[in-house]
Amino acid sequence: MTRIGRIIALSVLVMTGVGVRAHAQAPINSNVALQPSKGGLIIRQQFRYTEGEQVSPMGDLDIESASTITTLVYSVSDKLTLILDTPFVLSRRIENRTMGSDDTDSGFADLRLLTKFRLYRDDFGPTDTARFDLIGGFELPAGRDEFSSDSIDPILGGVFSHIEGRHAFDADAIWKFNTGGGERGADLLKYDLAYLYRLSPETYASTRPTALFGAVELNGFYETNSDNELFVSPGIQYVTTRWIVEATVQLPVWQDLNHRAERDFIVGIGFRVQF
Amino acid sequence: MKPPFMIVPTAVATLLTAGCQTAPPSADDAQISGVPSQAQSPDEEATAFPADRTATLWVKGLACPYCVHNIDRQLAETTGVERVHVDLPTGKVRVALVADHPATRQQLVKVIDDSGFTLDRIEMPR
Repeated sequence: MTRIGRIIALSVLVMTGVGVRAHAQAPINSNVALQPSKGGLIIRQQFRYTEGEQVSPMGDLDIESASTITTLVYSVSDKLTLILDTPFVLSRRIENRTMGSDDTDSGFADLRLLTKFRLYRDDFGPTDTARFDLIGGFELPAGRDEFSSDSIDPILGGVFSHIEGRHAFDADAIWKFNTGGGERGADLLKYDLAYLYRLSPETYASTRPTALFGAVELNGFYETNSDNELFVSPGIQYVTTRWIVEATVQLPVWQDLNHRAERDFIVGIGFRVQF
Repeated sequence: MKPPFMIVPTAVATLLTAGCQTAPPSADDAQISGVPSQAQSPDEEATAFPADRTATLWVKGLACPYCVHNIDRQLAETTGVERVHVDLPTGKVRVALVADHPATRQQLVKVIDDSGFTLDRIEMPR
């Protein structure tokens, strides 16, 4: 995987949040400790646009990528959920200002197969709950070399959610053990803090309830090659009993990167439908 | 790095404006499985959920509208259940049972358990 490929693959990872948050009142770019009911299926579709740049002696590179991620969530029991992320990079363009060259490419990025297991649940009100889930799984090199790590990478982590009244707090940390060699060998820590506020309604309707949430997230990345990146991500989410639409923008507030390109911003929109 | 700083205030303003413009949910949409979505008058309510064969469950942990569908779907697929109404703000779930071979208390308790929520209490029809 090239350095440019790494930024695209990581951008996909940002969007999927390692794929475990396809539930309602869930942060848009991070995880939530909620699960669908037994036998429940959720399909989530996300679209992202990323711009970044890389400064190098060979000339500055401007990077644009568009990707779509399909996520399937199936609940085996009230405690165990299976999640499959299938990211597809629709296009990317690399423009070398010095040389004036462009390049485009497309293909599947690594698939992620994850499980989420609930360890703790305290439902302390009709619409109030606190939960903790363990997350485990693998990232599989099912994609093209350009977007793939070419290794089966274990993923382990946990997520805590506290939802009370109009407020929701989520915190998670995910560690990806990169079993590939060379520059690809850096492990990844992804950590998130999220706050959601129910903008409307003040009190849920008794019949066919809907809700509009505002979200603010901090999405952090640390790689064992010392690359660090932190985003602040405002977002908005409209939730009904069957579907959700959402939008977010992710802005870097701290970047210390030596092994890949910087991302200037990421814009994401998406929807989720449950069956 | 070229942070597009203008995006921050724009996004916040959009978020707040959207929140202000959101209309409250329509009471005309009844979240009742098994009957068409329509306004429920007191008479219609009594017909849809007759007291002599309606169980009432109080459920905790319904974090959002999405959770309503989780319980609603599970109960609607249960043998012996005719229709369901989930009241999100109170966690009150009404379950109209079929006249012949109605769902049992144990069945309803298991459905809530499978849904991943906490059953506070249950009242079966007498």
